[in-house]
Amino acid sequence: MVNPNPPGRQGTLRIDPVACDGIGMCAHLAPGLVGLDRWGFPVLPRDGIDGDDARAAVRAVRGCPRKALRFIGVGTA
Amino acid sequence: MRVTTTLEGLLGGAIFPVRDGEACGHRHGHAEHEHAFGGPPEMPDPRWLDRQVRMAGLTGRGGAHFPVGTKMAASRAASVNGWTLVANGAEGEPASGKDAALLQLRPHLILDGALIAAAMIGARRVVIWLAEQAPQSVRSMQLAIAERASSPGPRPEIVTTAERYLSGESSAIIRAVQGGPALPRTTFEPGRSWAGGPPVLVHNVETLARLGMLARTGAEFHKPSSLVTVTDRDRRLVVEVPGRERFGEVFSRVGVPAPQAVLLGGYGGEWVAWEELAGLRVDPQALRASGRSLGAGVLLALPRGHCGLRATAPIAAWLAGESAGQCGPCRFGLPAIADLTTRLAGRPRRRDLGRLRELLGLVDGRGACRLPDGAVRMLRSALRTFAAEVELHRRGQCTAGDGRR
Repeated sequence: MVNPNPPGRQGTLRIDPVACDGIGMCAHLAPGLVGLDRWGFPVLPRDGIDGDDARAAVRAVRGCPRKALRFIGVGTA
Repeated sequence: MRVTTTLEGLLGGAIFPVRDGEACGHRHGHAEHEHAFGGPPEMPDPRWLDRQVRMAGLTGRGGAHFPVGTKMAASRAASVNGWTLVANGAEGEPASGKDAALLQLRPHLILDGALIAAAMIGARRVVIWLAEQAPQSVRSMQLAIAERASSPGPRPEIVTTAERYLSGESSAIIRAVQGGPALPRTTFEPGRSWAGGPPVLVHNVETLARLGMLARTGAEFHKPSSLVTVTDRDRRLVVEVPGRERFGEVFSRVGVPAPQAVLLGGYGGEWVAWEELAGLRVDPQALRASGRSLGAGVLLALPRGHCGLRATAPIAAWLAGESAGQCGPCRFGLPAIADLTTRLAGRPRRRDLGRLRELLGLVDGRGACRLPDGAVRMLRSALRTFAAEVELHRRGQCTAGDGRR
């Protein structure tokens, strides 16, 4: 039977600051997880993330128009 | 040829001034090089050399002091072919002159080390990476390569780049060698910083010279030392310092009066009060253990009676100008930080110090390269070391009076 609410992956959100143009889609897709600094560039959580946060992080990665974000899963780096 | 005595070191005991990019001193041609250091070093067994490097505790002299043994072993373990070995001689920092001195006075030590490092990973290309604004270094290396035209292994090529602070940054070099612009890029996989193109391994030229020496003597006869640049006003003095020597002794040896503070490691380093520094040994590992770094060996003196904030503000502005502008926090943060530092060095407003601290926290660790982190480290150390000066300026005063010091 398929678990209707599978556990999120564990990992860390990383950014390529060269690719990032400060569009801010990540903060929109992962509110409370990704903040924006005064210039509009994302401020990422420093620690590992899991559960709902990890799902939000993956949304932000998929939604980034510059493909500047990466979710680096534990054990897959 | 293996040497079983202690050699005199890379430069020996003399002091070498660097003026307008020219290192003043005697250059070792090929014959003289072999006379001083013994014939060509035999190609060492990689595992033997790894052991010697680890036993000698050799660290990267570009500034990061990463263990060279770890870096070499990781490159071999990567199991890829077609390596390019880069000897990085693009110093890029106005206060430094030690790589220029080595390139111009001991070019063959660098070539020895580069060819050995290349052989350890089976490199097909050896690149000597230099600033085009350093013609004396370029000429010295061209001549050295011509002098040993018949040596085995890949013939080293000189590649020049427009000189700026970031032209010696290793991810920028890798990108350039792979055919892109000489600008830093983000590395997601430590140990595979070349990923996405042909493999490139970058070592600083002093690191390579030391590797070449270790291949000759082994760790048993290795004498730990560091090249440093003592920068006092407009003078740059390069000297080789044994690991047991203390900073106080180095300054008296080169004839620079005891300063008020020293910017240890250069523009991305840390201000340290002289009283704290003078008794410490110039030993990269010992410094590291006490939470400091020799960086690329720059010792920039702040003379007594001078204002530390007035010395710091132009450095902050210079670093802001050297940002490649690729990463938002560095591009927008460093100029704002430099403006606030200039205000602190003049007549600050009440909230300037708090704003500066806040910006430092905002920029730290958020670039593709370490330029913003270095600027933050340098400025935090200035606020710490010159705390009394910050307080004086808040009250509209300055150690240096209203003069231009």
